[in-house]
Amino acid sequence: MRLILALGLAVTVAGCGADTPVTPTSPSVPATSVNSTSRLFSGTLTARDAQFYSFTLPQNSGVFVTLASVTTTDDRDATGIALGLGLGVPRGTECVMSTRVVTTSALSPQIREFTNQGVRCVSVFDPGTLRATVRYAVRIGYYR
Amino acid sequence: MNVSQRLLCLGIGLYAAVAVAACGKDTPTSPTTTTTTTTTQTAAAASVSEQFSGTVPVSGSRFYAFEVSAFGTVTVTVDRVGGGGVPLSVWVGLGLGIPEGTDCGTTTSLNTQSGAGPHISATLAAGTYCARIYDIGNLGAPAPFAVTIAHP
Repeated sequence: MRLILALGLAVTVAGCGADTPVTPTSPSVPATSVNSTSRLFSGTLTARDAQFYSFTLPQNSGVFVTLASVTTTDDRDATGIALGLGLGVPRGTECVMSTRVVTTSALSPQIREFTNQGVRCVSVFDPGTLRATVRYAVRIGYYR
Repeated sequence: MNVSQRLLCLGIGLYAAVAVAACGKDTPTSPTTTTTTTTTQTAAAASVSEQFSGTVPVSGSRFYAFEVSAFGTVTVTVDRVGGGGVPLSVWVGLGLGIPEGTDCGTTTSLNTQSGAGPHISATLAAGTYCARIYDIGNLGAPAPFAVTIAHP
């Protein structure tokens, strides 16, 4: 009799909560999409001048600034003239730069910086090298 | 099967019935009431005053960028505009917005004369903003101006 009781109890307990195990599946990975955007800032720069361009970073992001072209204003020949290039925040009537370089034009970014979201600016300025007015083109890239 | 054996079988049967009935029967939970709390943010008063002065070109504009450190009230006042051949009663455009490109992208703007203000008052979140003053077609010569921007 005790054996029957023990068996009954064991079967009852074993039956409780014993759901069919489910084979674990790999978690699905959502497709990540990176949306980048690019802006072009161009104009003419005279000796001792500085100009800036403001933009809003919607999220913390890497910012890539490329002084892509510096040309003469008359026949638009490429020049090897170095200009100042900076990244910062607009304050008052200027761009207060946290990063600045003096560089010639190139195909790859001269400034690469991870920046917090918010309004930022890129400045182009004469570092003292200009003897005549030049045209410039700056490409600004970031993720959004 | 004698009486005691029958009673034992009956006991086992009852036990099994109770045990099976207990399986998978979680105690139902009574629904609870969700309380939503709405927090009303209080706008901070202006604690910083910045002076923006210069000259508005004919058909042109000038802007000034500033940082609002906390959610609060921002006011813009044209203290003075005109002089140097431009009447002090001249009407100009005044705007408030966000620096964009090589200008100030205004979200609020109006035409005004200089005088007691504020001419623009807005409640803004923390961030970078700009005030813009511009010719609305009234200037016959560049006009000197002075604008005060007050913000948290």
